[in-house]
Amino acid sequence: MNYKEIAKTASNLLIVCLCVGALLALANQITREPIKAQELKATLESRQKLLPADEYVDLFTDEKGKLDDDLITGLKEKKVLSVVKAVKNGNFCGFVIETGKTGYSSFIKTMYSVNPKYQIAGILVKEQAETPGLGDKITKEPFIGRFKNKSVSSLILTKTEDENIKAITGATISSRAMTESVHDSLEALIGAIKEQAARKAGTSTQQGETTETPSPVQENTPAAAAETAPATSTETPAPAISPEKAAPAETPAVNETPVKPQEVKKPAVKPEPVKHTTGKKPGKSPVKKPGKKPGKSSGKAPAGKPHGLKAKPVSHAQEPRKMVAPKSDGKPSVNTLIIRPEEGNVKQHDAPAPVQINFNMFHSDVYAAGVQIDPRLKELLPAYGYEQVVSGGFRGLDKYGKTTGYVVKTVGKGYAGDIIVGYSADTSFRLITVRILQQNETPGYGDKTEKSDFLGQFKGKSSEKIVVRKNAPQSDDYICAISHATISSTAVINCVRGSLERLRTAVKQEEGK
Amino acid sequence: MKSYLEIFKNGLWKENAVFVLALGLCPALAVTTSASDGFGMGIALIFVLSMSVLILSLCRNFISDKVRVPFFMAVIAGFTTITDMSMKAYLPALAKSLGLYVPLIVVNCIPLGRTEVYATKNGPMQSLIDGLGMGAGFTIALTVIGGIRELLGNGTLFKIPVLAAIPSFKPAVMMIMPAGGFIVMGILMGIYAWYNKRASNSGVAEAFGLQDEELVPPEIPDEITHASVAEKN
Repeated sequence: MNYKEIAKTASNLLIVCLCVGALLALANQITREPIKAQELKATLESRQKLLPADEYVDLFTDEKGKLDDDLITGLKEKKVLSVVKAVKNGNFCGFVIETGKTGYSSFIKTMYSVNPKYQIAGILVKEQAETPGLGDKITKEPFIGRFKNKSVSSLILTKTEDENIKAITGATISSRAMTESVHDSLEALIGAIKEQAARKAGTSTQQGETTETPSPVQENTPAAAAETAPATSTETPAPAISPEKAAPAETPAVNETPVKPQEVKKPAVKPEPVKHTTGKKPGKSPVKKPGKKPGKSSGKAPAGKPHGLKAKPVSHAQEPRKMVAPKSDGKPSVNTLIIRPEEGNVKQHDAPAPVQINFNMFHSDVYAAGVQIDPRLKELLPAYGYEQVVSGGFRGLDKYGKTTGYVVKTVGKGYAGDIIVGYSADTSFRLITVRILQQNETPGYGDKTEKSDFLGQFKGKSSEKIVVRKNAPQSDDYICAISHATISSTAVINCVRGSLERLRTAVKQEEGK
Repeated sequence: MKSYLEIFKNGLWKENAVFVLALGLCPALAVTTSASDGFGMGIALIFVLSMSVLILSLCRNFISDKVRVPFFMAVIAGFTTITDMSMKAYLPALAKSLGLYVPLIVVNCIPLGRTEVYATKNGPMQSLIDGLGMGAGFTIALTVIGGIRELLGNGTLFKIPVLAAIPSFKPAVMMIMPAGGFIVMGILMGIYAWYNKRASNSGVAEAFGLQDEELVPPEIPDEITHASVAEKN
């Protein structure tokens, strides 16, 4: 190839790219405005569909109804993409909120409207690219219909038909992303509106008006919103809305409300989920382990976050029981295998996030001497004798007392309850066999975790390699989740990794002595 | 040299992109859930295809052979993007229902195939006509497939209720689903091949892959037989 040819080739590409680029720039110049106009029109149309009104006041940009800047930042952090206040015939009639969250394979953008009582009036999915036939069911009935008339406390994903939002089977992650984004954004909006009202009240001298603010969220906020709304100018809000609001405000609650905005916000939002769940939970999915000693089984620690999805399963729990390791010689960590989903895994997990498993439940099988062991574990690692290392974790010994390997029984929180997993590992803590000992996952979806194509992936892996991957080719460096059963497979993977790491630490500690 | 009409007809019918060349089947299956979507997609392709082949045929003497394909791709991608942007700006409803398939024209075999096979070897006018013909053939194919699927699957044609106007009509939803696309396309391809073979008067037999001889045994003229026998004797 001589220089002439090289020059020709390069100039060819250069010229074509320049020309095409220029052409595209020109086309973009021409179409940009119309595209923007079309998008705006589409947004307006969906707003009209969700909540018909004469005027929409953007709380982020419109000067007249704008929230304080820090509140806007807060809302944006909570994934509120846009929020408008709908005004019809001069009356405040609700908000239209746009929100979004990453689901299984795409960003799910949702737009919904709420009435002045902050109940969902309408909802539609604006953008998504979830799995066709499964994840994309979030855009359709009956899932969409489950949002109707829900208030923020009911916007919680469940697996059963009740007053909350029932997830789509096989598409929990998509349904949860959508539900959570709606819940979080609505909660944030309620907080922001209240705070704005409180701030306004703080600056203005009309104390008498604000002290009437009742404490429950739903009733309170419209009034607050009306105050925040200079948008509708002076004549509109107060007379139109206050009589309606005055009625529910029977409890002339807390008079100090306007003083500290932070405190106003909290009591209003948080008690809701708790009150709600206590009433209903007993009828719902059995959290208790059947068969195992019932008294010892539920050791759910109170969750850190008191609201939202995660709070729910926790809030109902009776007195969290103490977890006492059998040999409490100051090092309970050895005998109590606690699996906390690490930060990264929490979102993979289903609703009850802070899983803290009390291994006391296995004490029927395990005695301090380490003699008694689940026969199924023996199958996994035949040995001359066994010795307990951690609760639920044993060392297999040969005739001469030499370690031949390890065998562990552990529990993961699956989609429909606990998945009990048993596995064996060699002396360098690489897995040999993994078996599901007990599970109650959805037939056809979650129960695929029992299949060898999934469990076979564990073979030979050390704990660093036991990580979840979705939609990836099989590899030695990670474990592929089962599609449409991500939660179940993630539960298995995480509990195996967690317990294996514990086991290793315990063994290393022992050796160190 | 073929006449322009012949070139056009060639693309439109004789070498129909979908039914004969089996090119661009992805959009032909995916967007043909309604006649109007199929039609819109076809028009979008006509624009991209004819503009690309025109430009590339004009440049055909300057393009270095080594970077031929990237050159084609750049031009096709440019026109596709322009089409996509203008659709979004002026035909938002159509753009929404065609979705991803307009940007995917970039990797559609038809523009790339026609530039490589035709435009690099022929003058701009022939190339343009060929592009228009191919595009028209594609559009007709998509519209017909879309029309049949829409009619059976939804009871409408170009969004106007036809069968749906009959109260007892129950739409065969499968026709809107991917399976319906394959079925309709397969049947149409079969009919197309059968008709073409028939038209070229080789009859049904050839359309089904049989040789003429198998059906009609050759007759041996009597005289020759006699003559040859006589000669032998």
